[in-house]
Amino acid sequence: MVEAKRVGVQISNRWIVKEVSFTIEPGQLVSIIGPNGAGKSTLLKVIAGERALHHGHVQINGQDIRNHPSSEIARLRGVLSQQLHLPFSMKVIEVVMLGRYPYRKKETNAQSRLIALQCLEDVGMASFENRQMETLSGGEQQRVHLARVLTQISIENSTKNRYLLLDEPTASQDITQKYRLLSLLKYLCKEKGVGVLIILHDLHLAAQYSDQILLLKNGSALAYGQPQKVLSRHRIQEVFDLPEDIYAGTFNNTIQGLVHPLSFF
Amino acid sequence: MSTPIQYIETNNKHWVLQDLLGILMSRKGLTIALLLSMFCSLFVGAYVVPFSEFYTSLIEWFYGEKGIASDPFLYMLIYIRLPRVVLSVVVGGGLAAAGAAIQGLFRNPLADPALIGLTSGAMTFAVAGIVFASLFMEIVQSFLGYTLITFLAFIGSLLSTLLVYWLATKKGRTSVTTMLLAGIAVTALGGALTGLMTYFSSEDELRDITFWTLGSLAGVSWQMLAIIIPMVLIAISILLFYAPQLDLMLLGEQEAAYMGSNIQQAKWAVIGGVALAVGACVAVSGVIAFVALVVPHLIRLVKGPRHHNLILSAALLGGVLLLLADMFARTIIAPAELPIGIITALIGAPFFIGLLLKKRDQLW
Repeated sequence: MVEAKRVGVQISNRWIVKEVSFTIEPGQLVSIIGPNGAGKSTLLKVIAGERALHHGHVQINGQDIRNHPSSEIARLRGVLSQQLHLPFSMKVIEVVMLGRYPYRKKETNAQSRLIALQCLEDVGMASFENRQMETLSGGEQQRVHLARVLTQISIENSTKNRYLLLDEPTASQDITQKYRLLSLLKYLCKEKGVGVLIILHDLHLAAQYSDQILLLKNGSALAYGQPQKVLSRHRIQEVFDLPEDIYAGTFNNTIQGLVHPLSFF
Repeated sequence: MSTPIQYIETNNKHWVLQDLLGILMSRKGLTIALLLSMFCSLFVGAYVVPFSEFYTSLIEWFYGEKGIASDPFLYMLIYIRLPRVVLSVVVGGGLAAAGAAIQGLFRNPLADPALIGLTSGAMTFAVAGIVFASLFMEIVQSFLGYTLITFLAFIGSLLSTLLVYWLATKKGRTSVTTMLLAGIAVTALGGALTGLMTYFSSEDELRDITFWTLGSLAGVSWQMLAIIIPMVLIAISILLFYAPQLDLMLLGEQEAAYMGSNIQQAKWAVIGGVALAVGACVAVSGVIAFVALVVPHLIRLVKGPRHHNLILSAALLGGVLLLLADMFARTIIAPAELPIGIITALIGAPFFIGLLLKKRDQLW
């Protein structure tokens, strides 16, 4: 379990994140939503152990992240950023095997390869093993990177009690790719026991796929809980400064679910 | 149904070529190529040594009938040609390994130590060493003099690496344009300072300086090698040690940090290792451009960009290429010889243009 308790981050005497608390259970998908500048990325970096926090604490599986070296944290959580550009041509399997970096002193190349292949299969890219990265589409490349991050948190072929943190992975993707990615993440949660924390801009996606939603504005958590409770029409209009007519009716439909969460995978 | 069959056949031919290249570019293949070209290189030059003569001389020396100094063949082989062959291997290997590492660090295949000003920085400091040391004391030709010049060349390349890296990198991302422009600026500054110093130099020093700016492997002694070889070996060991971190940096600094690697430490170590290799090579052989650009690119094409293999293979192939280039430089206008920098530039510059053409879309 990832437990964030009253997390606060300060930049030049201003609180970017204020007293935010939430938890990610294994097998859960938790999304962070909120307008630009709400402190979403900062919060994700704090959970990832990349950024110092000035208040509260973050624990992964009961251990405070500040007391652990980065190599140990790397085995507990993987972070996937937006589109990555590789400077040199690389095979898919080579990219995925980079994920075994934290275990490089303990296992052979052949062992790493097996785990990498397993993770490629988990993201549905098993047949792409020997393809060059630049011949893949943007969505496929992202799934390869997802496999790399999974490889990073796989211990003895299990990703139970491990966590994935994703910063706006659906930015600049079309609707099919967005649903595919979220279906895949949902599958990894349900079948592999991974806990996922994801920053989303698309409220429809958040409504359909999340187990818990954290709504941030100006660094504070305005609401935290199940989608039905957090995404009330009134609150959305208030947080995102939307005129009444744009969002009228939309959320009543999506929360019941237009697309089945696993239908794209 | 003839089309699919034809397709498979052409595909097969392609694979045969790939397999051959794969064997040649493997570390075993490259080691054999290196040993072969070292052997050939020993017997080719302005003065051709027939192998039979060498063999009888060697036997005579072995049984104590003749000393090395009294036998012209052996003397030439051991004090002139062998050091030069060893130097080619060390300089080619050192430059190519440094190129492989700096390209990984800058995340860019166009980062050649000569193009981004590292060699120029090393040269400027080395020339300053020659000119100013001789103004005050007469030790330049001694052992200590070489050490001093080598050390200064290291400092020069270190400073220019730091300058270029600082200019071109912002928030863990390196801009190609800024990197190349910073290289131009550093090279221009280095050229100007070197030019200025030629006016303070004596006739002999001027010859040394010219020889440096064009790049040459001539006139090397075992004493110089004794300084250079350990430096290059240490540099390559440092780079190999940080090879896994360089692999991660292909994904970007932020990603590498997320994967649990100590990026800052790796970065400084790689910069230090590259500066050490480039400084050592420039101190003995001057500016030899493009080896560091061409060699890692060739290895990457066949074997991919994983740095452990890349750095080792680049060191081997760099040695082979420089040996071949040097053989050419020694024989084409024999008994005179071309500066080797001219030959590497003749091969490397068109290669660089080809690389630019290929990368043009990404650079815009």
